[in-house]
Amino acid sequence: MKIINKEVEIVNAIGSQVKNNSKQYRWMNYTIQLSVDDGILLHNVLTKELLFLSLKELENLVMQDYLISHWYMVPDNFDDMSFYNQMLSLVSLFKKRNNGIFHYTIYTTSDCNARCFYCFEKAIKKFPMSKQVTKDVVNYIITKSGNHKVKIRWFGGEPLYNNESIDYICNALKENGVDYESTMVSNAYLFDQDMVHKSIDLWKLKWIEITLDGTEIVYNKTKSYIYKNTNAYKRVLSNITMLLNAGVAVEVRLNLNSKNADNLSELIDELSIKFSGQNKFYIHPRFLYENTGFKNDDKPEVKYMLQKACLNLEDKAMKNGFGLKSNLESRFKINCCMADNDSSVGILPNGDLCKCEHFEGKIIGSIYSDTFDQSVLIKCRQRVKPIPECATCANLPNCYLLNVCVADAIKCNDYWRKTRLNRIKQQMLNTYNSYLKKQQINDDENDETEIQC
Amino acid sequence: MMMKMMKLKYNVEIQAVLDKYIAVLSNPDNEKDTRVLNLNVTSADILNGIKEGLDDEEIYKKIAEIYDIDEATAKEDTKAFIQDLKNNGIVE
Repeated sequence: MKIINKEVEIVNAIGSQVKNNSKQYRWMNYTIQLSVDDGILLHNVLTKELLFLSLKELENLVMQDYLISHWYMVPDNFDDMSFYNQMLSLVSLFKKRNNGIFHYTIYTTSDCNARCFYCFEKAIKKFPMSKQVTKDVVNYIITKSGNHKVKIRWFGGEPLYNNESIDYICNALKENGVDYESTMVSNAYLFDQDMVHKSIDLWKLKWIEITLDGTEIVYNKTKSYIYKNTNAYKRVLSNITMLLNAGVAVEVRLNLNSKNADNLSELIDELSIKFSGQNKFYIHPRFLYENTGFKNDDKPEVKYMLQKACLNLEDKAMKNGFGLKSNLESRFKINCCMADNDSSVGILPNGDLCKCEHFEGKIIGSIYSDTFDQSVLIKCRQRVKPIPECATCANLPNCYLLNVCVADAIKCNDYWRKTRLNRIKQQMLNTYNSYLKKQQINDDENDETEIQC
Repeated sequence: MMMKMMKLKYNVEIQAVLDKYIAVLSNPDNEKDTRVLNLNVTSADILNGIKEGLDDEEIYKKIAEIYDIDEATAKEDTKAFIQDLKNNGIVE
């Protein structure tokens, strides 16, 4: 038996399951099996452990004792969902409240150099974060973050449209001895060589999400940049190359609507060729915000079709080696995103605080105040209620959806659950293959050491 | 008989998981100091009693009532556990 991924620590608190010889045992709902060439992979979605067993080991009674003690197998009448809920409640007790704020999404401006038809910030007044507010943001971060490393996500509008604020904030944090790093959501048009260097040296940029709406003609038409006589698509692809070469991870978001799935599939083909061999390049198909900009996308049959198309694009990206979540989750999920994370806030260009980029109705305070609107915070934390199918769903421990989230408008269905299961199996395989590669590298290094001796 | 007031040195939250009770103890003065106790149902009731601000006599009475036993037996059961909590710096 090989342990490929260890259990999460919380399992130590609960301890092993004690075998009861008078009971019949079955696989827990969260145990997933996958045959591989020389054996079987077993993954416990709840404890996050991944095992490799030979077929002989699986039949061995001693191994069955292990599988029972480590929660892969449970008594026939065991309530799997109740156990998951209890573990979730337990893990949540470790989630520290009032621990400081050290994740920031900073909206450097609400203005943008593109004119995407689907922009959810279209109706918002356009203005950059002023110099004064930028200074006050620095003071807020220094006061609230304690000794934690600060993680900043630059957002907008187009954050590079006010890169002076980014420069100021990073310089000030550096001068005050604050440890920080950043990520960005950007169309990447405004990058050039100097800015890429600055993004590494000063901004400490680790990751950037860049939307590509389609192949060249589609992209240029959709984005409708304010600049004339320029091929924005070529410029952005060139900037992506510069960023990758500088060591920044690039996640390309593909905005899917009911009419562009084929074009996005073509785009994945293009990107797979252009960025072949880049191991920090990821492709992530997503639905457009809310109704995608087309009225008919609200119908259930259209949503189902979109879901199917999105999953096909995800699979294609993964098969081409650019899938975003290639390996198994290794942590017990106790929150969804920034919206329900107490150590995270968004700072708008005027200094208001929000919980999420879809911040309508979610203003919680200001950098000029120490109090938050608790009613909004409570609302943001509420999870989507379970449906009957949750009781037997293998993916339940990975599924954390919030009521407030418009991106969760696509409801769970049979197709979705099946594809989630397939996704986990692919991740099991990817994780196992990564493990084998590491083992091979270690073996090769050991061989070299022996030869040198 | 002098009643002993007890003070918890940690914030205590107790979660039932199957037939166990897991107490998560967090130190309000030191965020890195978090402890986990595995309890049975009786120990969980005792710890909850301390959390509610009951003194030792009140806790004996409460345990006797919950488990329908005499106070002397309840006292014997709880005294050892409370002493354990004191020895481990959880209660003073």
